Amino acid sequence: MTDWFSFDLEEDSQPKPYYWFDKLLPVAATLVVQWIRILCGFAPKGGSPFELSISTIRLLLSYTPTDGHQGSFPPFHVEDWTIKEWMDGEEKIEMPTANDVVLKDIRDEIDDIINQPTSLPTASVNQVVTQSESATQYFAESFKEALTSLPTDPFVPLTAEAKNSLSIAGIDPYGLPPAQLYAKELSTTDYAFITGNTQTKVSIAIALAKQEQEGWESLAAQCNDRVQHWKIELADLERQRNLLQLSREGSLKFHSFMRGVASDVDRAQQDVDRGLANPIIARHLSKAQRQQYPPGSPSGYTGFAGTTGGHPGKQSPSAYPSYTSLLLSFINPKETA
Amino acid sequence: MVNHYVEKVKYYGDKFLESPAGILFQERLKQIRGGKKTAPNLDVSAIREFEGAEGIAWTSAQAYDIFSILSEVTTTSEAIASVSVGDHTMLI
Repeated sequence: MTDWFSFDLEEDSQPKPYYWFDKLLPVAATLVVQWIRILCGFAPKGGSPFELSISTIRLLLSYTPTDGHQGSFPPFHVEDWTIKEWMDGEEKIEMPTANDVVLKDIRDEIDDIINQPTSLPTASVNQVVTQSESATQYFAESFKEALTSLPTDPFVPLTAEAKNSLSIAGIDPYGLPPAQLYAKELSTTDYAFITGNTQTKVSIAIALAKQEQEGWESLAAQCNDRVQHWKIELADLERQRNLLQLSREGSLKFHSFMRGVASDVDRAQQDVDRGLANPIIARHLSKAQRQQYPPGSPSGYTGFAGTTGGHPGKQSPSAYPSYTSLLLSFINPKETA
Repeated sequence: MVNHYVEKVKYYGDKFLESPAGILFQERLKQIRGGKKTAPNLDVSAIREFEGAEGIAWTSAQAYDIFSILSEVTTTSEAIASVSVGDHTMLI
């Protein structure tokens, strides 16, 4: 038994709302008991014994759900999935970046501009309507003046029937009973557009188009600023990446150089160790060392390195080449000469 | 994942039939087959012991063994609890 559930099983005797054990043990027992019955040739009423195969066990698994606990848990069901499929089947949710959020906001603004019904500010509506009415009045007066300047009236007088039709059409709309209709609340702009004449309609349409155009320009400016900001960020990141690349290459070159120096040091140390293995050379070397670095001198050499690869202790870097050359002169006198 | 359960069910089924209780249970089945007697009852207690013959162990350890694969896809932790017997209380 492992620790996976022992602490769970051996818990105190207080009643618990739910135990995994209570849920899974009956399932395990049911599965095994049913399989033993199948192995012993039991068959359902009126049916034939099951085939003793793995597919039968699989079928048994799929038909043996656990009981829900007081209706609060759904039945346990063995899915025909591998663990890999379980892992792959999980929905992969990628966390949006800060830039994704910016793009989403811009997308929302674009949708708003395209789809949201807009209205003009009240002052703009008043200005548009006033201008349109002035233009209409000016046009009407000009037309009247043009007619009076003509020698004869070019228009045929209306018949009585036509005049009657016009009188019906000219009824004050406020006098008409309201239609049984539920409609969206109209804005001032909408009302002006509906009730205005053609000149007013065109003016309002142009004003709305201008307003939307300003929105697009504002959004384009925001996008441009954002793109410039991203370009600066990108340039900075590329610069840092190049710097890292250069640092890495420099470090590798320096490491290669250090490796060569270290190899030289190791070879020299091997020569020293080989020389110290000879007692005569060790004695001569010690003597020469004492002559070169008398006791008490600031950079005095205080002892040889260990004979198994250790480096000389308390030796200044500047002293090391002379020490090595001295030793080499003992070991390979011909080469050093 | 299903193969794990298949193997476990198959294992415990075979293990019971090879046990003294399983062998005796099969003998009883042969005796009544063709007759009018009903088949002996087979439940959890019969798996453990059948007519005095020893069966297989059937405890929480076996339940864990069957569902042990769940430990690969779940994370469990120990909950501190206490047991009180009379005046004595012990943390477990």
